[in-house]
Amino acid sequence: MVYYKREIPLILATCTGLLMIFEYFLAVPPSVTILAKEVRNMASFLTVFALGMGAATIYKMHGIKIVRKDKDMYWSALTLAFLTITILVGVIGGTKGDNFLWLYYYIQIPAGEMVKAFRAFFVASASYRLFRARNLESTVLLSFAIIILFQKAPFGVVLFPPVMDIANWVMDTLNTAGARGIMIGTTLGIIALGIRVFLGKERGFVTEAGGVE
Amino acid sequence: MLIRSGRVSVFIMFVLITVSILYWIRQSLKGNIPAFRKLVALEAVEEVVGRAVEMGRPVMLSPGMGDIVGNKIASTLAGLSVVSYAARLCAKLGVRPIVPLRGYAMVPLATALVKEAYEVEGKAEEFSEDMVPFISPETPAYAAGILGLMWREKIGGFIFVGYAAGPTITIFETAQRVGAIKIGGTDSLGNMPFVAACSEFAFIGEEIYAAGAYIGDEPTVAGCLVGQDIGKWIALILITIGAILTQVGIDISTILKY
Repeated sequence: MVYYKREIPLILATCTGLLMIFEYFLAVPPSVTILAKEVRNMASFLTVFALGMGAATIYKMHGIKIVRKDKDMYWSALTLAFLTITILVGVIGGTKGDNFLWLYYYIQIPAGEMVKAFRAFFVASASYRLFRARNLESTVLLSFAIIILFQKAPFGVVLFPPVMDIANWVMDTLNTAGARGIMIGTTLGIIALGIRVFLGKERGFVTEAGGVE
Repeated sequence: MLIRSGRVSVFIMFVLITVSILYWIRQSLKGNIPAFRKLVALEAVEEVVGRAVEMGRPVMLSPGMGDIVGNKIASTLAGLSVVSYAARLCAKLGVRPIVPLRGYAMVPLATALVKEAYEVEGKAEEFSEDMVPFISPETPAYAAGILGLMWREKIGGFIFVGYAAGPTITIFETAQRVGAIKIGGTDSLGNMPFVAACSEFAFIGEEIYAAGAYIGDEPTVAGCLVGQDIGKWIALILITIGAILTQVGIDISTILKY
């Protein structure tokens, strides 16, 4: 692999990471704090450029499908049409203009809510498939799921009032303990990942692919 | 004071964990490699890709719903490591990978990773940019796009490692309905139960970061994992001491806030 593709990104990542760590923990001079802040601002600039690149990628990807006359070309044409109209409306009238806000509130938001509405059916489907008493662990999972379901459903507490206290204890004690344990492990994993990036051992995003021999 | 007020205890923990990781990497480089358990989910990646080859169907590899900018970067990087590994397996075994992306900043990186996977396997001519479609940065639009891809392409395997947002269960259930074997992993607490329950093989929490270490060289694997375990022991000891002291009326948090 060419030197600049591997070593320079690693050097940049290491220097930037060490700067952020020193600035967060140590009582550094104000100039270092300002430098760290400017580096964070630079990341925001890169995000904006990346957004433009994302739009260009969408045009390229769907444009190729239209040119090649793929079987889904009409959906690609619709996607590009909506994207172009949204960009033009935003540029001409501004993102706080009535037309842009209309597109956002009456097309984008309802479309997003429609996708979210599917979630209830998929949760029911997954629950039917997964909550089976196949072994000890799945039986325990099923038992606690029933307790929580009873607590959440209005009639559950009416039928069996102690379920409220039991469910609250499960959520406050068992669930919180497990969640905090996972959070501690995750935090340690992130620290280890950062150290691997500093040492240049985290290759998956910089150098040749994978570890397959 | 050298260390900022209110961050001394965190700094001490950070230094202890870092030193332990570096010490054990050094020990491993000397040949003193401790035994560690294998990650079943990572070993299943080859099985999933192999099954997709037998079925003649593509494999969907998702680095999660995060991006390499923002606060989800760690889990996204972990996901990209697994995607890179799986993409190379796909290139080696001759199955088409599909890497749908939500983060726009990830597009050149993910494209380069998959392209390099094919180049390393000597199959650069088989790579196509269609393998790495950018869907949308909006979560519902991304979910709708990925569901459509699954149904149209009839994927044989689905590997999702990274940040999981709201529609995760929708995506995993759809993968189940198209008949794909699923490997899932996330560190986001809200969706971890869905990922773990709906996947045939799962990375739980920190295992997604350990997966990246497994893919790398062995001394680094051992050093990082032992260092993480030492950090867990330190946390466990502090929790136990804190719980005992709290019962006798001493609040340890006032010391840790220093």
